[in-house]
Amino acid sequence: MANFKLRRRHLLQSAAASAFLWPIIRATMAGAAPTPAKRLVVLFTPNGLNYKDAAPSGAGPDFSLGDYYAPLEKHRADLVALTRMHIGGVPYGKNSEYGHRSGGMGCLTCTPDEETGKATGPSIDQFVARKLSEQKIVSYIRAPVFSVGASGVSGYAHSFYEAAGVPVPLVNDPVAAFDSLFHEIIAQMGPDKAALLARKKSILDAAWDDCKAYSSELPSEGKALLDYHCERIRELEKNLESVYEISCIPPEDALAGVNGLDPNDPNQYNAMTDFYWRLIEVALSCDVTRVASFSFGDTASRFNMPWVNPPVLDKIDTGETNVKDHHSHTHAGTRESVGLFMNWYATKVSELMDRLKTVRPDGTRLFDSTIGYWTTEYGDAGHSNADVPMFLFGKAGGHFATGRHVELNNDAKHSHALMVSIIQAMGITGVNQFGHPGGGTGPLAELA
Amino acid sequence: MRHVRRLWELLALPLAIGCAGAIGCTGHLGEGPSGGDPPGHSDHRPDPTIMAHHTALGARRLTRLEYGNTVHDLLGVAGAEAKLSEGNTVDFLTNNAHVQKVGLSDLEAFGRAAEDTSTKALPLLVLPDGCSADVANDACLKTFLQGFLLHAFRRPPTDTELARYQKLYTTIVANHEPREALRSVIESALMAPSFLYRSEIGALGTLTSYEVATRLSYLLWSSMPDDTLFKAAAQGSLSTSDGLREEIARMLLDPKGARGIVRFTSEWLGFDQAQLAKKGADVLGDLPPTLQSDLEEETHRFVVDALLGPSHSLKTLLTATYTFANETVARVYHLDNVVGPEFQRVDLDPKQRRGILTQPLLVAAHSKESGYSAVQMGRFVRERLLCQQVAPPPPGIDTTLPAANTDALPYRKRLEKHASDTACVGCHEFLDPPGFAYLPFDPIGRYRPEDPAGNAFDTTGTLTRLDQGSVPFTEVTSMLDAIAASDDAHACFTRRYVEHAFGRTLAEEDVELYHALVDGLVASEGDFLAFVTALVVSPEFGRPGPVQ
Repeated sequence: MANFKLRRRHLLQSAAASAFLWPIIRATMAGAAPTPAKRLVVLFTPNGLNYKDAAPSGAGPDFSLGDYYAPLEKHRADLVALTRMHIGGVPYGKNSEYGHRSGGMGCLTCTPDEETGKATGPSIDQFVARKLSEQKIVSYIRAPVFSVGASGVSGYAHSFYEAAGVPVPLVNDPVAAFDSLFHEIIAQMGPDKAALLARKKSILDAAWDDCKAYSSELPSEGKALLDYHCERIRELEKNLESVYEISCIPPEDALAGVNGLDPNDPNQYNAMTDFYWRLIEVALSCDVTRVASFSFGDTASRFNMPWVNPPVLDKIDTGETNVKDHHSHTHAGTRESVGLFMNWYATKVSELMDRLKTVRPDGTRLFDSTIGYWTTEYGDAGHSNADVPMFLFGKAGGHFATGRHVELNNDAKHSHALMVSIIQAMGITGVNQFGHPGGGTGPLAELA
Repeated sequence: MRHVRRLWELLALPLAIGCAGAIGCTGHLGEGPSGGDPPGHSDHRPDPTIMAHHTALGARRLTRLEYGNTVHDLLGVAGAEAKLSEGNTVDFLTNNAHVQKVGLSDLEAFGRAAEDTSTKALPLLVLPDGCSADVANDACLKTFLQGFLLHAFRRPPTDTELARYQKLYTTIVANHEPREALRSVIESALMAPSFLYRSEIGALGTLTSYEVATRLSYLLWSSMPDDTLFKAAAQGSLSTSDGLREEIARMLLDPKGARGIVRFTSEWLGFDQAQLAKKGADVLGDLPPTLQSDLEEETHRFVVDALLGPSHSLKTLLTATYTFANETVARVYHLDNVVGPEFQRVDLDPKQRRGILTQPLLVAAHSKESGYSAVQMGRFVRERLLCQQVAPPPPGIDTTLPAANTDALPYRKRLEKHASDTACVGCHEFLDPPGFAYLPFDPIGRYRPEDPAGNAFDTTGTLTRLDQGSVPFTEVTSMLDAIAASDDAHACFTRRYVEHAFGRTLAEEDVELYHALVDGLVASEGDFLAFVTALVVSPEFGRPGPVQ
């Protein structure tokens, strides 16, 4: 991390110029957004549901969340529980109906391609972030994906994609996560923003010139690789410019609280998740980003939770012995033991909702402008892509009627439609289809 | 020449070799991204997109590890890779150019690494005589750029490039101190694709001498060329076999040679995935916290000694009955004659151990967390050692075994459901026997002849689908001896090493080279130096490779 004392001095200067004692200073975007700001939070949990009777049930507002999701009870009025959803994209290609891979790749992209092991389109978070920029709702492209329990991008199958075949790295190092949002903001707190920005732009311009010259010498496939790189340089420049329009106090206290902890140590997952909740809250509040995602592990993640004290499984069907992680329990545990893990995920999601409901100094709550989407990678035991529970939460500016359970019928088109609903709820226009073309068009009628 | 058939198999479309029912269990094929998937539920199906792309892209992005090594060797700054994410893998290797697209978040990470590195590098820079970072001087800048960009871009800079960075300096120095302008030039060069990608474009179907030097240095050192190699490139000596042989000999003796061979071996065999801390207190007992680093040191020393030492032999790597141990490592081997932190060569019981294949770090890497998995170890043998593919169980199959705590069945007996269920047997007769051979090793590679209940492990079995046919064995050592002597193991090592060298899966154009290398490796009983030399002096090594 950069020089902490220097940062602190800049922060104090910035804070002194602010009328707020609140740790977050609202963004001062040059040019107000044309529509009221909407935020998107995407959450992923691994290893499916496995016990259908633990899913939400019951009709309308009197629905039951089910015991796995009981920690969400306090927020029941502010969410929509969707059950019997089917992972999008799966029936339309050459994909298997089963497996972590198709579900993991498809639950956010609706374009899983099991043969290549890569999604053929972006995930909902990345899609929305680019559309917000394209339609000039924001001036940047930013959609960070943080994680506990996942290691980088090299997982079994990826859920978050920037574009076809380009998975997004899951950032599980707190310093890297912090820097991805706030490094440039802190760097521009010096006295001469214009000179700093000009210097950075000159650096990127030289890199872009090099990129274009290099690309022109390559065979077609190599040229495509480099041209993609060149486009990202321009996007990076755009993001850089946007930072100079933002005033924000990064949550360095939160970083200090976890800095030095081993992010791969399961004993730290709780603290790490709390840190990422704070990071997401501040980033959304400062308008550093309108889209933020969090992945509990990744597809097929083992995800140990020593604090829930699950039973140790002597031997499981995969031949392993002496294991007690979430994945192993889905194979050889009980309905109750799997519930220990599911309850923890639900508890953390509930805590995120608590945080987003905090009233800010201007009297607003992030929750009221946020759309939350929580999914998992498969439904019933046996890795089926059917019977997947999904949740929407947040007021989304009143876009969705919350406080209800909507039971679908395992038509995969519903997942495509749900993505369209989210896209439209974010104020994005002109998008009526998401994912594999076989997924149909239009928003999810059942949400109307 | 049995492996002739095998190369065509690996280039073919997915095979469905006769397992039970519709299960296609094995082929010699590629796979998608690795890591994280549970044993027995692997979904490592062939990846026809990648397999169809046996092309050279002309540009190979530095991997995370290569980036760190290169920045270190270029500027003396260590740890720059910490800001980067792990990349994708193909066939366990990190440097396949077809999965190295740079996304926006990757580029942002490169940006932060470049900024941090340039700041740290500035005080370490050796500038031309009479020049100072605090004084703007055109002549000094040009001289600096000629040297710096030669090293950073791994070739002499063009006039256009020199002018680009001179202009950048001039622009920035107008509003900043000269020192900041110089730092900005370094930062920008580190963001340039000419630094981030190594060029293999060539001219008229032949790599330039600088591109050959770069391919060679990243193969042997996982890093950029040094001045001697740049000089050889400039003088044209890399266009001759003698010139290449001279460089290979020099480079493998250099300490960086160890870096290169450890990197390849760890990716191929996956021992870098071991996480000892996750094994649990009941497994680790009172072993010290240095266990992970001590076991890594053991394996690294052994790999270097086996492949670059006196025997320089794949056979030694796979079958030796010695290792290097300090007191902590010796405790894992139940040896009580090593005291203190220093490592020394020790002999191991030949009835228990075979080279790297029974080393604790490797066993720990393939025994998940606190548990032991015969299926996982079987996959290691099939996929890593023999380059064979393992298909997932068919959809909807009941994978539940007899309950663990309701009977006293030994571990192996429980897994014998695999042999009695027609839906399972096809693949599990292929997977399980090599895994059973590893039963006497606990999750950190300690040898234990009996299970906790006092039952002797039954390690007998038959290894099917080896080029020799089906080979019966009685214990892990005889199984590993059979594998080490097989054409299949030599062919698998060759395939992975050539893929590592070329940054792509093998293509039809590689067939002749592949055959020659496998034949040579088998005939020489695994002479690694002869193998590397044959690869590097081959015409194929000096070509960009097939393009679309």
